[in-house]
Amino acid sequence: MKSLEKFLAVFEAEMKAYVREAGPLVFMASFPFFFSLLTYGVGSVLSEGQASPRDWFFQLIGFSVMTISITMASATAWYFRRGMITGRLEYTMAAPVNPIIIALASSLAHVAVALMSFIVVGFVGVLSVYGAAHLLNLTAALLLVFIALLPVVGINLVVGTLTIVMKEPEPISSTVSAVAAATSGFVYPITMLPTLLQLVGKTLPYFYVVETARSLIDGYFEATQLTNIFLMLAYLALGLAVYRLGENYYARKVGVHW
Amino acid sequence: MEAVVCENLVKTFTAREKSGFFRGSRKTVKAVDGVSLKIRRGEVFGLVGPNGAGKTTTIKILSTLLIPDSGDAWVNGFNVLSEADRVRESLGLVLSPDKGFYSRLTGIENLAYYGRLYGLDKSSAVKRAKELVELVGLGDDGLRMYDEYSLGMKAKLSIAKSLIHDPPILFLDEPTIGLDPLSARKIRQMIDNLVKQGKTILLTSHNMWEVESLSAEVAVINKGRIAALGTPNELKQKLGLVYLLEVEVLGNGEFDSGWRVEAGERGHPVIHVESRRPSEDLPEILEKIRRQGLQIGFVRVHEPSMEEVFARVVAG
Repeated sequence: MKSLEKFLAVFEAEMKAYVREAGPLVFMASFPFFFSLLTYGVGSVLSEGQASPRDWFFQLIGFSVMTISITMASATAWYFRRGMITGRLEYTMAAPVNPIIIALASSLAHVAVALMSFIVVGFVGVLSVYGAAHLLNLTAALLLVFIALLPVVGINLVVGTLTIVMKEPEPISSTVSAVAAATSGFVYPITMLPTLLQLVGKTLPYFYVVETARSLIDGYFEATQLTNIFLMLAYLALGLAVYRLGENYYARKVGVHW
Repeated sequence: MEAVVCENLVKTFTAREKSGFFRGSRKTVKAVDGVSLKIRRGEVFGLVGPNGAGKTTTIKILSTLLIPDSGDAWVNGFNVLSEADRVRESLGLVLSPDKGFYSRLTGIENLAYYGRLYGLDKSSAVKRAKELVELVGLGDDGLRMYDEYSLGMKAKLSIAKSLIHDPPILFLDEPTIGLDPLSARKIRQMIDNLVKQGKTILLTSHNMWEVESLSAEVAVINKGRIAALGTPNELKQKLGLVYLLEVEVLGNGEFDSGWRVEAGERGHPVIHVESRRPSEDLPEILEKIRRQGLQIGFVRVHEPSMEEVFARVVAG
């Protein structure tokens, strides 16, 4: 019970801090609309009016997941950097709490905020393209997108650990975000990429997040996708292990002051 | 049983040195070099030293934030390496008075957050946070966002944070740094009250007067080593520091003392005597003045300060 209380303490504090800084939420909820409309407009011109509202919706979901992925990576890196600069990370490490609880709670708070923006984007998109009947699909998509984002949490914990070691949050999170954006089929089908990049995309969890969201709402979700999502959960285990090792074998040897 | 014991702590860091854009080398810096200390329960122990002497590193080792290269330490009877969580439960920590909190949370929310990390349930943590906000004198400011706090308010919140789980031992690393005199005085009063409640406090500060007035025992650390250890009076005696006695002499008669005499601010002669035993020397001086039929204007005794101890130990 005490571990749950500690988990909830971090989760609540992170949520409050996040929601009181409205910028990331507004960015995550608005960016996909503007950019999907841009690509939809360009696509319509290039295809001489062949682009359908469904194509716009696919772009909208792609941009939404891309924005969420970028924001989550950046938020995790900055969680550690801010923690180091403000001394909060030291105080947290000096408290009798399992570091895994801290890492998981703060990351899940980022996922929860991401889902809040996804609800806004998905709700508008589904109503505009499919109608109210598809809102049930959106609900199912939210649940699976939550699970599909957990492996992303794992990668972000590696980003966080590297932030502690290298003391540079932006280059690390931006590099991860760039690779994810280029190889995960957020904006264009992954099949358009060279084989090597397709392989990279399918090895990372981001592709499965966007595919899950699109297919569940559109109604072509298959059982094999579920298997892939659960396989990707290995990233979460990896991230937690790397963070634990980073804290034990680096942070407590070198210190986490900035 | 002592509240804190450390034996032969050693901690080294690797520092990077750059010469040019890319060229560089690594240098090993011994931050703590064989520190051994014992801190008695219910007392303030002052740890002083110049910047980079190893004070904060020692505190971080004792609070389990850093793993020492060698040596061992116990806090409240628990080993800092093998019983780290019990050590963490036993102590409250202030590493910097203006850091450690969520800027977008209120003072009470921040305190409750830490309370829950230390095992309190939510309602108990909020209740305790409200009590502490009153105790440290923040009052209604506990409901304000942390990023609106002044340095003094942040320092008070830091002390409150260290008390959130009512630990028996507190490590306060420069808790009054950067504070105005009134805020610093309030923090010192708080420390004094905490000791009266039976808390053990490890205090570091660059304010030597503060350390001397609060601490039962003081260690001077320099280049990672304990250079001097004892009560403030013991340290002064060990170093042979002298008291300065000043006696103003009134009257018209000739005055023959054998001591150094200079004209004072009021135009009367003032005797200046350096003494190691003022309680013996001062009556002798006063008696000699009286025997010559003269009167005494004032008597001043300048006690050697911890600042002199610090200067003597650190600068040699």
